[in-house]
This record gives sequence, structure tokens and C-alpha cells, in this order.
Amino acid sequence: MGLTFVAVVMLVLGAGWVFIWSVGARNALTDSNRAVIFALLVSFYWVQQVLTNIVHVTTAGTVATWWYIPLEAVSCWSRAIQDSFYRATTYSFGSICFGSLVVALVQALRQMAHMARNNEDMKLLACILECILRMIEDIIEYFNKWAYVYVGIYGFPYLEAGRNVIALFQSKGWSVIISDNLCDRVLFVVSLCIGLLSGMVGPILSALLGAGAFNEVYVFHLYYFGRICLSDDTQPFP
Amino acid sequence: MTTPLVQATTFPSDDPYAKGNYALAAEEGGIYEASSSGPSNHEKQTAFQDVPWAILFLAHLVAMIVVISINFSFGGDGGGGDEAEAGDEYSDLYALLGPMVATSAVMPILLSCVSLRAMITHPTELIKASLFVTLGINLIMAIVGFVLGFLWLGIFSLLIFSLMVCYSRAVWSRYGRSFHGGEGVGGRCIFQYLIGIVDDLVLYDIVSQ
Repeated sequence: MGLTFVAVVMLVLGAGWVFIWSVGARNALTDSNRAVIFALLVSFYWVQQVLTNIVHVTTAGTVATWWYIPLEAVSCWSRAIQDSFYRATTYSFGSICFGSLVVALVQALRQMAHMARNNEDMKLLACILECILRMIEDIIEYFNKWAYVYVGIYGFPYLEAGRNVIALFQSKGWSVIISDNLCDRVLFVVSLCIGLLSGMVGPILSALLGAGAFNEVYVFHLYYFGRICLSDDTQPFP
Repeated sequence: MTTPLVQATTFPSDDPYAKGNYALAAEEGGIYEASSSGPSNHEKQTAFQDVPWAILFLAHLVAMIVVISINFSFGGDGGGGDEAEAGDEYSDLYALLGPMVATSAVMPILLSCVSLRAMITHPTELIKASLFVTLGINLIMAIVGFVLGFLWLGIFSLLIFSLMVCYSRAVWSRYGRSFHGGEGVGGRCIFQYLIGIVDDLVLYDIVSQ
């Protein structure tokens, strides 16, 4: 419950950042050259990544405390959560910023490639580039996911956490990756079902309430794809 | 690589991931030592890591605040003046949207609780089902690709389907073990729900404009 609270706070902060950035950077995005747009995009993604990873590191620290000293992590807003959050936002904050910047740079590049697809002359090239960048981003994000567990549990610097992740994969082989992949698959299917069922709420209610202004199919798709796209961070396909 | 520490507690070298090994280590004065006297041991991580990156991030935030403030001061003419009129026109629409959004927000709570329960009680079945669903999606995509004439989509999906079949056979023995600690998934379900609420709010905002 306490972790949920932390996640909600970060979610609200993230939403606030999206709003402020959208309003503040609107003029710059339309008028500026590519370097400025790239810098603004990096900033946008960097803050988002930092907020997300603070939750991740806090969760790792809390779970570690629960694992070693369960009594310190039993209550709703336990000392374990407070201290893990404190460490994530102070001692390990630099590590979080470092790893987040790496992902943010790739995300900004990918967004630039996406924007370049509007140019008819380099559409294909931009598409290939975007695909490659997407794969790089996925790999880095996957790597970061494990690195931040080390940061949260042991308080390592980012690079040392990365070395430990490599050591973990070397010692445990593919078992960690497969277990993680199987969990992701189940979560994807569950998300799919929740999205599908939630998506049905739109047309049913619009029919019951007589909301004729809405096209039912449109409402369904809006709900359904909103749920799937926003609630699922897993990979549906290998 | 330096000797790993568990919040300042030395790693046992034989199996560093076994829970049982830490009971002894904790008694040697590690951060997780039960604190019979003095403050909690959670405060013992006192080394700031990767400080330059934290400073860079904070400096960037300050710079962005300046840039955004400048943009606010230059471009704030407030938009159109027909908002009140539009508000009247769509007030009925808002009344209809309210129940829809509220119901849509409640639905995922129930579904997430049910699915969480199912994930904990029936992990093996769910893993099997998820693999079959993924296989089915790839197969359907391949068929659709060939039927509609998108040859590359069909071939690619068929290739993925074949790989998935091999993968499913290879990981067959792992069923049931991967979700041994199913409670951990709960956090993600709750997170999905939270994102769902934000999704609703955004949706409400988009549709009501």
C-alpha cells in the first residue's frame, strides 16, 4: 500500500511534468531547430525515466528489507518503504539519473527518427532507424530493470550495478530471462483480458445511457486501446 | 569487481542469493542487523553514488524551468473566447460521460483483483494459457498476412510462430515455478489500475474538449 502511494505520487508528478513541458515547450517545438527539439525531448524523457526509476529502486529496496528482515516491512507505511524511498532520492539518486539519461537519449533519438518519417525522401531510412533504436531502447530498459534492483538493494553505483547484472546473467544463465519472460507473457494476457473487458464498458454504457453522440465502436476502441497501450508495459511478441 | 555488500553487509561467497546466508551476516553489524539500540540500520548507506549525474539532472531541471517560464511569459494569450458557449453545448455530454468514466475506473479494480487471485492460485495454467494465446496471435497474424496479401507480414509472423513453438517446448519444464512468488505481480496489477485511472482522466479530458 505504501509503495502504491509512492507510485501514485510519482505518477502525479509525471503527469504534472507532461503538462508543464507540453505547455512550456510548445512554442520551442514548433519554431526551433533540431538540436533544440532534441534537447527538449531528452529533458522530457529524462524526467519521466527518473520518476519511474525512483519507484523501481524504492520497490527493490523495500522488497529486500522484507526478504531479510520481514518485521521491518509489515505495515502499510513501514520504515522499510520510508528508508528505501529516502535512499532512492538521496544516495542513489545519481545512479538513477545516470541510467535514466542513457534511456532518455535513445528515446529522444527514436522520437526524432519518428518525426523524420514525415519527410517523404527519407521515410524508409527513418523507419529502419526507428526500429533499430526501439530495439536498443528495449535492451537498455531491460538491463536497467535489473541494474536498478542492485542499486535499490545494495546501493551500488550504476556502472557497478551493471557489472553485477552481467555477472548475474553469467552465473544464472538464461533461467532469469526465461522466468521474467514467462511472467511478462502472463501479464500481457491478463492486461489483454482486462483491456478487452474494460473496453466493453464503453459501448454498453453508451447504449444504456443513450449517449448517441458517441459512435459505440469508437468508444470501444478508445477504451480498449487506451487500456492496452497504457496499462501494459510488456512485450506481446518475442 | 569489489566484494558485493548487502547495505554494508558482506556477501557470502558460495550462494550470494540464498536468504539463509544473510542471517549470519546481519549479526556481524550489517545494515539489516536488528537494532536493539540506536537508530535503524537503514540509515547506514551514507555514500552518495554518481553525484555528477544528479547535479547534471538538477541543473537541467533549473534550465528547463527557466525555458518554460520564458515560454509561458511570451505565449499566454489564453486561447479562444467561446469556451463558455462550448461548455453549455456539451454539458449534457459531460453528464453522460461521468458514469461511463466512473464505471470504467471501477471495472479494472475488480478485474485486477480477480486476475491477481488467479495468478497466485493457478500460475501453471496461466503460463500455459499465455503461451497459447501468444502462439494464437502469431498464427492469426500469419494467416491474416497471407490472406490480405501482405506477404512479408505473413512470413515474418510464421517465423515468429515457429520460434514460439520451439520456445514453448523448451520452457515447458518451467511451468509453475516462475510464479512461485505470485504476490510480487500484485504491485504491477495495482500499477496497471493506477495507470487506468489516469487513462480515464485523460480520456475524459480528451472527449470533453
